[in-house]
Amino acid sequence: MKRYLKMYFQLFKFAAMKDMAYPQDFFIWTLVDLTWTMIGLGFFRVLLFRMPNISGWTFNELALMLGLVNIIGALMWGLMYGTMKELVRDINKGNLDIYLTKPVNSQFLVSSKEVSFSLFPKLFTGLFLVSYGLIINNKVSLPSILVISVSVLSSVVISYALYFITVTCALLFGRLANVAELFPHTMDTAAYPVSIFHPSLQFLFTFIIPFAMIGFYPASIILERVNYGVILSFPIAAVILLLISNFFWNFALKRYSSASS
Amino acid sequence: MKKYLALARVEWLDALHNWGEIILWILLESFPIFIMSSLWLSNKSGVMGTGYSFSQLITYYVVVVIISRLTSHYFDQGAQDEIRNGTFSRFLLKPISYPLAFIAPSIGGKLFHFTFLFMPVILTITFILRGYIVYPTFLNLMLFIVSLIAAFMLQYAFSVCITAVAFYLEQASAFMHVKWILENVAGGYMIPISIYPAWAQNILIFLPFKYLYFVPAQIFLEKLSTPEIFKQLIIAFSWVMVLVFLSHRFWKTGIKHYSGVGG
Repeated sequence: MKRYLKMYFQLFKFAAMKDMAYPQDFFIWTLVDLTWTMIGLGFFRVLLFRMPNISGWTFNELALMLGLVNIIGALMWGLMYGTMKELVRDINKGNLDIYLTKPVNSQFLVSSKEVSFSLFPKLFTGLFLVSYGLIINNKVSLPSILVISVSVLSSVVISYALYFITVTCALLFGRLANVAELFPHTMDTAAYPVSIFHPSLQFLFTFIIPFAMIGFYPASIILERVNYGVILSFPIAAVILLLISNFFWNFALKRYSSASS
Repeated sequence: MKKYLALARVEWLDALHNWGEIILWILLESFPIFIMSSLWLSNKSGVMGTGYSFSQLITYYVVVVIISRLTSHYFDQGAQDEIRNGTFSRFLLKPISYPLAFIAPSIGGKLFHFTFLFMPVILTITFILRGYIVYPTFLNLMLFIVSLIAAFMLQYAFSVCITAVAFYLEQASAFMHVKWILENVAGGYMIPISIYPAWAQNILIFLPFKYLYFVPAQIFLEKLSTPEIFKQLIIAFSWVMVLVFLSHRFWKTGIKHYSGVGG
């Protein structure tokens, strides 16, 4: 474990240096990310300008949920998106050999390649919204902080595992250059209360593809709409999905054929 | 003309090869229909304040996806990469007129998408959402198709401008997002412009972006009278002429900055 943490730190440092090599790019992408984040918030403001609430959620309550979704979104775009795109490229070009022949877990190696620091505006917006949501709803308390900590840590792992499973499909289905776009697009559903969907989809987004665990359930727990005990299922779901992602990766690798020397 | 047909054919063949990716794009673009339908369905009381009926709102998002598939251009990202790494030189050596030649592959790809992939997907969506879909009269359908031509050409002008930024700047790909942001917010892709607060509508109504999605969708939904549609189409095609001219000027000035290294 210690060895992997040390390695991740080194890989992260290398990826960070690569990302910061062009400061001009950093500022442009930070501005782009900030604009998208503001648009996401503006979208809900416009909707709530026309309707009193979204499935029983007012803007102040939604702020808490959107804050959590923004935090996970920032980590997904900053730590995972570039890596997953690179992985798809490597799969399509048959360039995975370099990772498979190293005496390190190949899933770990292919998952630690890129990082983008333009994630900060989204991350800060998320933190601001969570703080705003806690204060305005009068829920600043130790249990709330604990729920947020457990849910954020679990959601990062859940998001990573689901994203990795989707991208691994490129090993099974051949040329799918845009498969890395699938997860970020479907993750948009996490920004809405799961109660807006059909009951069958509510089941899907709670138990199979648990997007509702990113924002909806943690916010529901803090707002006392759901029992506190639900939070215990978050780390369990995270571990199960991580194991599934590893199993699926090893299974899919058996279909991999190299194209490089 | 023959050489442009050849370019369209190449794109058609490429689409045949990459059908899996195209299906994925169609699914991804259909996602807003699914989310927004669920959202409005769960808040039927909220629909009343929008000026649309529930069916019109659902149809709006279905139509927006159709417009997006039929009018969007995807050459900008690839062309920017080629300008940046110098491989764009090979296009300059061919007896083909750029940026106009970007239109031919777009049409070739769209013909394939529309015939083999898009129609089955859209028929499935309209079947699932049957009873919620509003269909236009024949006249409005024809005028809707005309508005799509304007939207196609406006998208072309914006994509040419975005591509040409790569002649000046190293990190031009961020400008792709400027286009997407404008399409989403000012074009009516995310929410119909008429749902925005009055102050925002007053600004957006004077910009050309509303002709990308909002106005064609309004025509399809019969939210505009026939004289108003003709007025809007005249303004849309005026924007097309101005923006295509300006984008070509921008391209011609930009190409003087281009330097390709390597063979």
